Amino acid sequence: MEGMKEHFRQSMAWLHTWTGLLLGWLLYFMFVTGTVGYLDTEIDRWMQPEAPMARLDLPAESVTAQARAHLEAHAPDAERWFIGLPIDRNTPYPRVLWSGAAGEAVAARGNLQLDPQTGAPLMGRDTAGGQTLYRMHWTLHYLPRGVSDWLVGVATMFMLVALVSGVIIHRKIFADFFTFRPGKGQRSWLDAHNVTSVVTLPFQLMITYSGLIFMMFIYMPLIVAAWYGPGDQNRQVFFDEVFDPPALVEASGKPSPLLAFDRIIAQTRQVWGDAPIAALDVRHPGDANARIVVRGDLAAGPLRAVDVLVFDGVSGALLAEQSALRSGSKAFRDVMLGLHEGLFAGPVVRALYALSGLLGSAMIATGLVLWAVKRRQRIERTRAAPHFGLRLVERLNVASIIGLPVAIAAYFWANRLLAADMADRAAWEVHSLFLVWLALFAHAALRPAARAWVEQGWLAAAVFGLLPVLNALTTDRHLVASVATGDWVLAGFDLVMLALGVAFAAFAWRVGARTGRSGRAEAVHRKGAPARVAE
Amino acid sequence: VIAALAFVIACAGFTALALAMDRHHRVLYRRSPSPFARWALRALGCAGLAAALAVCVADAGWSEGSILWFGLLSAVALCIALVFAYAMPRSEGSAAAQHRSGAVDPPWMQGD
Repeated sequence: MEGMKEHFRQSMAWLHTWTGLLLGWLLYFMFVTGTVGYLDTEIDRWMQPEAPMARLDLPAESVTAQARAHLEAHAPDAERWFIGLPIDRNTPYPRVLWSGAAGEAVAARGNLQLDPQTGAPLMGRDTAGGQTLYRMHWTLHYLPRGVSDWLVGVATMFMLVALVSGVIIHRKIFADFFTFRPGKGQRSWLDAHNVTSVVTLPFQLMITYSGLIFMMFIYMPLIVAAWYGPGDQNRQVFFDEVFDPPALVEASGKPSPLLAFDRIIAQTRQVWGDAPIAALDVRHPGDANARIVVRGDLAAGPLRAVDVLVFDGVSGALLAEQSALRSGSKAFRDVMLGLHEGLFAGPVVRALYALSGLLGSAMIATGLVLWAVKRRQRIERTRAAPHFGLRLVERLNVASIIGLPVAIAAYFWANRLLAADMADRAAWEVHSLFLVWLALFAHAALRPAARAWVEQGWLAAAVFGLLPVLNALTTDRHLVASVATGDWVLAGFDLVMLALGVAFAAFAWRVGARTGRSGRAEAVHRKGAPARVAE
Repeated sequence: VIAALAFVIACAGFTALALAMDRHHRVLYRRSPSPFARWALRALGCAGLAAALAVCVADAGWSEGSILWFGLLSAVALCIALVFAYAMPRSEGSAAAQHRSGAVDPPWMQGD
């Protein structure tokens, strides 16, 4: 019996090691960009410093009137108008979207934010912003969705396997709960890996499992196909039936003036009281069959679903009412998605989300380092030459763990340094990220791994620590000005960058001190290495 | 402010739970806890965590309060682990070490 248990633990250890390693770098990318995603609109703001401070206290009547004026002028005869109201940090500015517009010099579809003061489109530099950085978390940016969705899905499944097998092979979860013994090589890395995983285990399980739920219709396509038939068209029928609000109809072709939004808002207040209105979704504006769909707050709590009211766009009659809470199993899904995205989170919970994400990234990073440290120590004991796999992992570790943050900083640098009128400016911000990352992979491949850690560490310290300086040199929204005007989104960004700079400097300094010591010892019995270190 | 209160209570709770363990108890007192002390510290620790949950739930309701609580526990446990790792040299006497353990609390909570 005991032997069987031990055998089980050993096979779980094998599983943990290899599921963790194989897609570990991809998971690290997903964790880092996902963590950044908890601060997406704050990053948007920093990357478009021309934009005014958000105003979340604007009355729905004036916002919708401004938005309607814009849509009537620039999106006539549209099939659909969508007006997002600025009610929290998730939607800092009024937003208008439209599709199916027709007319001379009219864009068929559009999506833009409005200046809350003037009602004119928000002007600012062309930027990919925090949104693109956040979306990379699952789109992986350059890959077609058909590939990235499945790659992300397999990685997430691996993550879940690694989490569960990790719990099984950890012999002393409770006894080692607070145990971190620094300065002891492999032991310290294992402690760090254990502490970061165990103290955030509920978050890691939630985020991984809910990540799979997010894409359930993609990972289990045959469930839909079984009842709706195969193919994209049948799939769309399913999505329309499940996710579209009720009481929608085709356009009649007979024009009829769209009701004033004020009346719809007043009627909504009679039903919802003071609960905020997050969006007006108008189907067939100006048609006799117009519908105005009023959507409630998606971020009211962890249940990521909204109350919906559907009004006749001409008579103002309330046609249908749909509650956010419709069934237990749907609520389970909605809570999972809500917990994953954390849209409801205020400043404190948002900070804790970011911390948990960082610790998750650290969990993956320490696991990857542990794999390499373990094998490096074994090799040094036997004085064997490091095999190709170990050298590869060591280099991939440096270029991912430190290289990715540097590349993200490069994204911010590109935002400030690329010419304002450059063609495809937003795309080049993203290209900068990946080009810099590629360069760091090359650097890690060419330098001895121990040196690469230190060098990329100092580089990270410099690019993060100097970002506030760059910001001060290239805009008038420097840290002092932001603090003076109480603009805590911009000030917070600068302060976090400074803190990251200090953290990377401390890391580089510590690793440098350590490799300096062991590097000299190593030089005694390894020819070639000292010459490269001296470069 | 409520979150800070819950943070401090959770700190106290996790500190008590840590001190119920041999390894961490020895750091402060150079001996294993007596069976009674171990039991009392565990009870105190659990009570602290429960009190922190109560504060979170009273402030933000069950759904968001419990999420806040989980997040706080992660942060607090990490802090305690770091404090035990870096801020408590083994050689110090219990009085000095106990004084140092005050570093767990944020500065504004000290000296009442």
